[in-house]
Amino acid sequence: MTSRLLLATIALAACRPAATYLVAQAPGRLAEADRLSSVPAIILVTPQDRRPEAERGGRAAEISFLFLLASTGGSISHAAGAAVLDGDDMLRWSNHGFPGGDDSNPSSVASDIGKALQSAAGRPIKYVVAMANAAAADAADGTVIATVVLDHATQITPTNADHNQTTRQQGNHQVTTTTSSSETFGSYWTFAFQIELGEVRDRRVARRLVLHVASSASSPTAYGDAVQKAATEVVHAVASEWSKPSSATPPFSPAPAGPRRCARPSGACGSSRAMRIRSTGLPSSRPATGDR
Amino acid sequence: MVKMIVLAAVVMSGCAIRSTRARDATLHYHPTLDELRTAPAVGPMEPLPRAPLATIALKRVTSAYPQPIGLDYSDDGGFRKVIGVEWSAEELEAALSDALPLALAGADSAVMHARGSIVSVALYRFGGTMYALAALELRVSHEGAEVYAARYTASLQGPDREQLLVALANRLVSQIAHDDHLAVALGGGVR
Repeated sequence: MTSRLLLATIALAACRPAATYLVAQAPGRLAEADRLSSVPAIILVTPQDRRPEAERGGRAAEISFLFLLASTGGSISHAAGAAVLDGDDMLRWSNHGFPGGDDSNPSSVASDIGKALQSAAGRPIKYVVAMANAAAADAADGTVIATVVLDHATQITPTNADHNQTTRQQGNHQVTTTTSSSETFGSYWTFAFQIELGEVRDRRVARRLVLHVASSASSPTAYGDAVQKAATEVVHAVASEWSKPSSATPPFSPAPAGPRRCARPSGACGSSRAMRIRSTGLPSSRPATGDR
Repeated sequence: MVKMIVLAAVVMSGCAIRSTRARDATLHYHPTLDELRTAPAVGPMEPLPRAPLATIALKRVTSAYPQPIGLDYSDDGGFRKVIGVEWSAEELEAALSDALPLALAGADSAVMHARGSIVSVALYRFGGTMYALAALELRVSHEGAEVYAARYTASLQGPDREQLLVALANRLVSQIAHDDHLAVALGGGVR
């Protein structure tokens, strides 16, 4: 009995698809990195995970009809849409040393971006488990604090699937017949990050920039592309916009936050609208691009 | 074929039926079809307002939306089938890159800079109707410090893909040109 259970367990483990290992190559040092010499330090702080629920636990294509055959106990169903990979169980990352990070969560993504940034900037990156404002309290003027926000990391498979199960009595036996068919339209990998940059003055975040990066492809190499883009964008933004020291106080004060005109998490409340985003050093409250 | 099997099953046995119209047929990072259906039909192209925000120069428009951007279905009923995948929206990107600098009146002497990021594009076809939605995030900075950030969203429906995407770009640009909060953030309004 025990050996049967063991065999069954081994068989199940063998049938389970293997997790995908996401790898990012570090880019070479960028020429613009020379302009970062006035930056005392670059600190990567605790990342934020804004992946939609479907990307953490997976989702099958929507079942568009289901017939339950009451007289025979059978069923017929049809699904059409896109299946979403169970990201927490089916994705693996390396972790290059973000403190407190495990091998399958946003801190691993942040550590990949940190490694790429270290290479692109040609200088060491410091990792701190804290929010940006807390990290700024102990940082020297001119320090750049980066927060990685993970918006999307998933594989999407557009699918049509039909399932048909019938049950009939044959002598003393009940015979169940199941037929399934499906067609897919390929698999698509998509990754999207935000990098929120803050520059420290007087132990607080005085200047702030937000960068968006996305990469999609039919293979998981899109992850490496997104990580390299993120590192390159950070070096470019700091070198081009922050090469001159900031004044102590920004000359423009942001207007007071207006009412959110759309309260639905999916952000779809009508044909057109503008939604203010809180700015300058405050934690962002906006939703990720995917919210469902 | 599927319809035939279902009809045969209905005739031959007592059965319970659950059939849905497409609701969650969209990708998980997009609004549901029910929400997309609230969009107005695409109409004649309106001329863009020429009310430039004279102190802003656009640095660039980046594409930062997750892909694919949608699916093509045979119809929107319970028997629908996926028949194609919408991958990208070059028409929208090109139209925004053309129209946005004009609305912001880019100039070398500008004291502020703006970055535009297309953060979401949804494009779905159900039979002969297409539904589209796009979101653009605009971030305005002065001396490297962000002074204004807003997300503009527009949605439309219609039969023609290119017309839909270009009209969406125009709607987004029009919202930016008429954004009073933006004008106030620039120091009392410069329009």
